[in-house]
Amino acid sequence: MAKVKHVLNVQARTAGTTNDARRLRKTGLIPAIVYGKGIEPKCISVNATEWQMLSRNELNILSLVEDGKETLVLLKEVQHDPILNRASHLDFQAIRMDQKIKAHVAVRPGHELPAGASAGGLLEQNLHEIEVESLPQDLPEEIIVDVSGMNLGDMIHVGDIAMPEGVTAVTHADIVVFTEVDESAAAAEEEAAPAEGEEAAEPEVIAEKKTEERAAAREDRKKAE
Amino acid sequence: MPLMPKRVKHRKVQRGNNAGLSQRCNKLDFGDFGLQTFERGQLTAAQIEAARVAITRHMKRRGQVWIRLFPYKPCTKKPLEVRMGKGKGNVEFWVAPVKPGRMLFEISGCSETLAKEAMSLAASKLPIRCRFVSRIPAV
Repeated sequence: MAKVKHVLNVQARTAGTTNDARRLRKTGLIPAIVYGKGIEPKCISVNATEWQMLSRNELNILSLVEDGKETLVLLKEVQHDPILNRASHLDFQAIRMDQKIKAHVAVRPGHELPAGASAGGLLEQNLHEIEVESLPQDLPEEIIVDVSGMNLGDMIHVGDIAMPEGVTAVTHADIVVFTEVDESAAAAEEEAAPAEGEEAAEPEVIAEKKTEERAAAREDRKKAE
Repeated sequence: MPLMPKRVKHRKVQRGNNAGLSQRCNKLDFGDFGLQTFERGQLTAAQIEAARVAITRHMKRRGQVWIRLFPYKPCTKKPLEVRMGKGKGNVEFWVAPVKPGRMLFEISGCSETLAKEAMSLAASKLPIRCRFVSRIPAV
């Protein structure tokens, strides 16, 4: 599948205070910054509606357009307002096409169900993003993993995932990404768990223990004298 | 056994404040669906347990459930008909202070419809308003 080029229009802004950023957000803009190796950090602003539309895609590399001038950037961080669920600040890193970059790429299971699903298995995804290193043009938007061959108890580690050409995983190869767990066994375990230790015990107080120890030490010292 | 810490530094603590928004645990980190609060308050161990039971029962013990909060704060109460003074009351229950934006529960391994129903049942056990969140983007 051909990679889609994501274009975002930006405007320059002067770096200001928190209140300036707040005022900017009220006008429907999102404060952002572009930084990178060998360039001076630059404060910019992005249209909130345009960003909302664009952020529905899996974004990694974008092209920022300011007064007709294009800059290739990597989306580094998005700060979210947890209540309003919208971006409050964006971080972009300027990149060069001939230099390798590290980025987090989303991992998704393929559309086919695992083989263990018919035997009561449940596919668990333990890791949702993998850090990879590649040239900007090779960077995938997402990595689809074929899980159709997974039976009960099978695991797929980072090292087992076939990376696209020119892409290497930075995340440790031993980290588990997918597990096919036996759902009936997990349910039985959960049922058995509450039976143990029904009485509500008092928690152990560390500070009190220390005070007692100190008092005992003081008494010992007195006796020695 | 109710949710409570195994070891604590101090037996009783002061009330403290609960200002600001949840700066961590405010997005889906483990599961595909979650229950996020947009009010602040304190959830007792019993309320958390009631919500958890509601989720697991509705999911018929399938899928996976993550509890993203823990009642670490002791709350004291004086016995009935006791005059003020004579020291702080006894620890009666444990609470988890929550700020707006906090993810309370996460689940995976079920359909969105089932997850929504389970979370709605769980939300009805809690004293604060919550909303359903999903990792899968709405079409």
